[in-house]
Amino acid sequence: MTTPSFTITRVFDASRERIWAAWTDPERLAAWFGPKETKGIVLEHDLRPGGVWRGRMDAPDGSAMFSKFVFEQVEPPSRLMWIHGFADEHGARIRAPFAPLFPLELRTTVTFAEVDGGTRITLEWAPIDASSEEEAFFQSMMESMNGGWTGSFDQLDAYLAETN
Amino acid sequence: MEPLLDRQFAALADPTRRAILARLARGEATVGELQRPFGISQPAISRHLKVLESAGLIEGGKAAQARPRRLKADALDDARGWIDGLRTLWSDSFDQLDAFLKATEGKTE
Repeated sequence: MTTPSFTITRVFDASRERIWAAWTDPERLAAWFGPKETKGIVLEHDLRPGGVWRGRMDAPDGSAMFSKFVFEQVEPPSRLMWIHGFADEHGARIRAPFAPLFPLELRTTVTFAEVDGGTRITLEWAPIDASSEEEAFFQSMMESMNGGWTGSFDQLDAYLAETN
Repeated sequence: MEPLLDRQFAALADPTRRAILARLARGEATVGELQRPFGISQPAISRHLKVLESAGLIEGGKAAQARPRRLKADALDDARGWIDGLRTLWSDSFDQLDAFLKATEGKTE
């Protein structure tokens, strides 16, 4: 079985240098990284292979989640690679708070390429040392990222709206 | 027993079960009514329904095959909130990065 992975790519109207700064300067990173409606706080930022990035995300309901990344490759301005995972408040690696089957760690590879119109960012997420069960779970979630579940959820929304 | 969210994700990982949920989202249905469009055996449908029930996603009789199954109204709230957070992490971040780059354009770097 090929290890499943998730890829997202987009072209941004900005130079590679500005994009690199936005990804690697803690203050700039905190300004945009994270799900909408959450507030990101960078707790630790050591940008070199083996260095650790830690952050906290505060959801609107007051709950907080902690992440820890360990950089593997730092090649300005073209490539970043890190091990991505959840952590407790002290930075110890933990499983995803609500889904023990989500892979413990994901390798994140980000490339920045100069193209017409700006810079193309390509990001890949691939589970590290995951069990077949975790890979299946990740695969299923990736399908949901790619819209596989959207239809079902839209119908659920309609249903729930009707029954409220 | 595994936590409810685990059971929900395991239940949702199967395309047939997601299709059954989508069908039930349009209205309740009996095992027989579910079986026809999916073209799989009645025991197979019953097994899927059992998984969905155990995950708290649908409700209906355990013994009576004819009793219609229906979606539970608040079934997916927790699982869904969590999925959405991860599902949209990078798309949200990319949107916000785009806005950030536009807002800081021309300023001293």
